[in-house]
Amino acid sequence: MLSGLVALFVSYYAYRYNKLVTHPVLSYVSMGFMLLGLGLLIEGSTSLVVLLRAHGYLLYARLSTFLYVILQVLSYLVIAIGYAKTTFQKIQLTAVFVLSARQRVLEILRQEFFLQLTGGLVSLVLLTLIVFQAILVYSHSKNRVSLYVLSGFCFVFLGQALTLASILASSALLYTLSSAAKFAGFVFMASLLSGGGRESVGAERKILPQ
Amino acid sequence: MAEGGKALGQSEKSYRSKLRIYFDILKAIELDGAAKPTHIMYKANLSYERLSKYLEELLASGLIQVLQNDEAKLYTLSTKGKKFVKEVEKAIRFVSAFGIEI
Repeated sequence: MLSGLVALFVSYYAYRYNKLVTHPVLSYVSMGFMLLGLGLLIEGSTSLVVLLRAHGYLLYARLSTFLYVILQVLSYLVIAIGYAKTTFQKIQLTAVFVLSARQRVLEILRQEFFLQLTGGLVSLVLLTLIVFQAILVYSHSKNRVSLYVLSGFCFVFLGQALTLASILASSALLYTLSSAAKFAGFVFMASLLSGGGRESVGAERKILPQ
Repeated sequence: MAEGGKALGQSEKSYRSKLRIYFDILKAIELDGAAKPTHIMYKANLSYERLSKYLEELLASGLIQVLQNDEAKLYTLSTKGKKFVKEVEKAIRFVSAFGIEI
């Protein structure tokens, strides 16, 4: 749930700075992190409900799992598209992928196992794209903040891979490790909010005339 | 509106956005505390005509104030201007993480 809150804060700040800067990528980032945050809050609440064995918890768990997978895939898709607009400045390939992915998801949503597996695989593919683009951004900018974002997405990617492994192996240990990895990823993302990697902006004296 | 040349903290890029120009002017004033137009002109890398126009806009927005003494006109940041500079600095830091340059 903490990861969800971090994601929602990132979404809020992307929205807020978009009003100042007005850049389409920030809209995608804001939307993507909002979807991700909502999904993570839903996932977190599921664990709580199951733990407390509240009335109707099984039905709630199934519905929320369904929602979480959908929101997760959508969020990574939106973030990947946003990043692609930064790094590649074209989304034709991504659009084709969106249509085919959507069709595929609709065909397979009947059974929970396949939903989780397919959603997990699609998320992993999208995260691969996001991590690759984050590497491109960092290699271009070489600033600490983009390194934190890259590290964050790498941990989320690792977490997603572990989640898939836990589904296949039905392993609670792997699932716990995956949650820890994802949380670590969002700790790095939180650096965007805390001003971590603080670099003096606009005071690089080396380019000012003497 | 585009202005040629690099300015404060910018990578190789020919044109600056209007927000960036405003920020460069405000930052130049902040660094000096109270700055003359010619100092701002050099630090923000603007022509005098363009600078005059932007200074008027910033005055109208209440982001800067004028101090007139016997020698020259000096510009300082208002409280609103100082908050605006901090907000833009945070925005630049945030958006740079996603490969966006202002």
